[in-house]
Amino acid sequence: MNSVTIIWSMMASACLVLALVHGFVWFRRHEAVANLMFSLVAASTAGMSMMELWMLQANTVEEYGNASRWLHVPVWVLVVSLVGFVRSYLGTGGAWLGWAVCGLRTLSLVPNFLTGVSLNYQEITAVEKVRVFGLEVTRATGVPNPWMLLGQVSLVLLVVFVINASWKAWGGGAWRRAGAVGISLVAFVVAGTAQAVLVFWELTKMPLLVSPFFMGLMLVMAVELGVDVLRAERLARDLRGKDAELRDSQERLRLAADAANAGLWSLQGENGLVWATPKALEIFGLRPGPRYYLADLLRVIHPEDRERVEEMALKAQEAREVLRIEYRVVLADGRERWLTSWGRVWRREGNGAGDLMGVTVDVTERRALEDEMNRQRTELAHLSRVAALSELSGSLAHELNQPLAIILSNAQAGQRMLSQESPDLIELREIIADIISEDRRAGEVIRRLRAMLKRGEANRMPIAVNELIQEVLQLTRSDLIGRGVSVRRELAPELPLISGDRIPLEQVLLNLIINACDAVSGNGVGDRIVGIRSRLEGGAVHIAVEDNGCGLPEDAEAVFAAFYTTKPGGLGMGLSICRTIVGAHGGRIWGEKNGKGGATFHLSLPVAEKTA
Amino acid sequence: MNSPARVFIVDDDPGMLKSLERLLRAEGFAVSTFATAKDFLETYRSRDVGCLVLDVSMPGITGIELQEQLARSGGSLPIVFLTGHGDIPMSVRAMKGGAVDFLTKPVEDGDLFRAIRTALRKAAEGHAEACRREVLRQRLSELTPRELEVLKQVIAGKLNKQIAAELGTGEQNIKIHRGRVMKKMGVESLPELVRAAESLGVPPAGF
Repeated sequence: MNSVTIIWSMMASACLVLALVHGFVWFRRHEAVANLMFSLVAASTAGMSMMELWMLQANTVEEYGNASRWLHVPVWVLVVSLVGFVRSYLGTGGAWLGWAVCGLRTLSLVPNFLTGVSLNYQEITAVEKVRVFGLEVTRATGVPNPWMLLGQVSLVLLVVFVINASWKAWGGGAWRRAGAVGISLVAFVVAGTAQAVLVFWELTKMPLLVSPFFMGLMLVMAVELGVDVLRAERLARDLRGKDAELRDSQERLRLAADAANAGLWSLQGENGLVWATPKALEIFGLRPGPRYYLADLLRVIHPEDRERVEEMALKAQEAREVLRIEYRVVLADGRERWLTSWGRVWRREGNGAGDLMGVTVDVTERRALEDEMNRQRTELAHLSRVAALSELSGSLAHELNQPLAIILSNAQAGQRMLSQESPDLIELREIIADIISEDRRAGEVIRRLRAMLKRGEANRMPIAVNELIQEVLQLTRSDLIGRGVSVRRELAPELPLISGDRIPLEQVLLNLIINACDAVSGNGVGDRIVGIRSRLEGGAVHIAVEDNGCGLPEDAEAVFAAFYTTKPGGLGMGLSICRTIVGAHGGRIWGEKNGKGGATFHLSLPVAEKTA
Repeated sequence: MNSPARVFIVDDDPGMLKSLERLLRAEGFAVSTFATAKDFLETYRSRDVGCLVLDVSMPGITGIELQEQLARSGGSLPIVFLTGHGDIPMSVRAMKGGAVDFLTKPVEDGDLFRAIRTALRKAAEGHAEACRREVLRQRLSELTPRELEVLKQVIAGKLNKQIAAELGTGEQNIKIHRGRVMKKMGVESLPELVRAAESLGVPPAGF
């Protein structure tokens, strides 16, 4: 067998195989148009090889002529499918240019079949065998067909088309593809065309040998497509890996959320469709299974909270940060549950309504604990009030005693007067008036006492600070006197009112004054001085209670700690409760050493806002 | 007696002051009232006879302090304390300081009157005693120096003979001096003389 036959047949079969493989790809996936185009390129190259073989083995002019005529059929297929391949593989390439190429090529088939011998030869004069590269092949001589120009122009345009497409693809970033396709296509087409031109214009003694060039092109294309396959395979592997990671991560998230008793959910923006973990459904008291929408969720929410929740969900669409809301749901059996939900909107591309995603936690227990804690705190405040008052029991007894003693003496004086011959009625009337007023005075003391001992509910009202101070001083008066403590007052006149709860604030002042008294009890007689000042500072009313007693520890804040006490048998709750009360009024309380060796406690309370 | 006995009331509570005044006046006492211990001290003269009704817990000078001050200045005004507390240590202190009584408010009229009468009695006795002493002092000042010496010897229990030897004069002179001393001092027996000398604080000779 002839070497030429072998080689050209091998080339043709290789191309056919490639054509089959890529045709198969297209058959399985109709979107893989590039593969179809490539398959056609390969098939036509195979056809071209066969025709070329025929030409190279031709022994007669006629044979050669036929071969050179039929050669142009596969060439036509090749050119058209090359255009198609470039377009589908690179996605670029001027459409009109492509059509021009195809059009010209198609047009060139007409003169190919109707004029002269073929597109290339008007007339073939002789054929001869020559030796090229050790191979014996046929070479023809004849008159070139002027219509050949059509074919050659189409090839030039093809080159331009390819360059244009590659350029655009390069610009678009697909530089590897563009490079591979563009350069190789251009190179091989140019080379092949050049060789053909040389042959047909008899500028060379070589026969037509285009196939090898196109073989080269095929190989490049095949490698390209092969690489694509490899890449796809790698992507698929990565994707599987990512997929597994994603599932893992989702599972961990779910476990964590379940463990924290948190339910995860998301609401689709467009239709309100709910996705929720089983835990989330459980928290909402919904059965797993059916599809739920926002409306279903709203239905289980407590009617009083529904509007608030809806508003919040709408607000979330605009907000950037996580929003939080607490509300109740009512379960099927009528029980209520307190929930806290956090959510944020996540928007996909575009400007549609984003998905609201979030977490919900059942906080019923926490709230119950908080309520209990508040209750106990109130109870403790009450107990400490009682304790503070019991420290004053001596003082209180005296406060009540005075009016009683006055009433008794007045009444007994009255009795005596009545047993006289002509009692002084005016004096008697005065006596009775005094008895009545003293009785009322006693009543006041008892009323105040009762108020302090009551488990109070918060009762804010405008309070004049100086009045408060005077009241507390009145309450402690006999105690102070009894302990030999002198009180210095510096109360600024016309202080603005503060808004507060009278009884707790009295308790705070009481505590401070009793503490000051205790602090100076170690001083010598006549040197026990407690000062009380009130003034306006900044936007707040400022009260200071100072003493010249035994001072404070280094860390002045320590005295405010719960259970801090210097008194044997003391509870140590006084100052810590004071701080709670003052805090609840929006004020501050702190202590510091003063220049007289003792302590000064400062109390700052915000001025009441004027209500229109 | 220079002036009738008075009850002085000091209490910082005006209501209390008025009611006590009424009560005591209705019972027939002469009453003067003061709102502070300072006011009282400015008015009181040590020759005023009477008693003091005093509230223990007052601002400024307390009741106990007033008691101490009066004692220091040598006054003899008996005190009845009133208190709204029932403080034991304070009452002990007051009683030790010489108070007549320590009553808690509200005070029954009967209890108050009883205490005041006791106090006034003490005051009267004290006053009488003071008057007597004054008379004796007056008499003592009229003794001549010699007679004073003789007095001191006599109350020491010495015999006339011993006194004569001691003072370097005759026994008869001593007898005369002795008679004159007895007469001037207004006593009739030796024990009386001794008591008089004692109350005046005249020491016997040799001691």
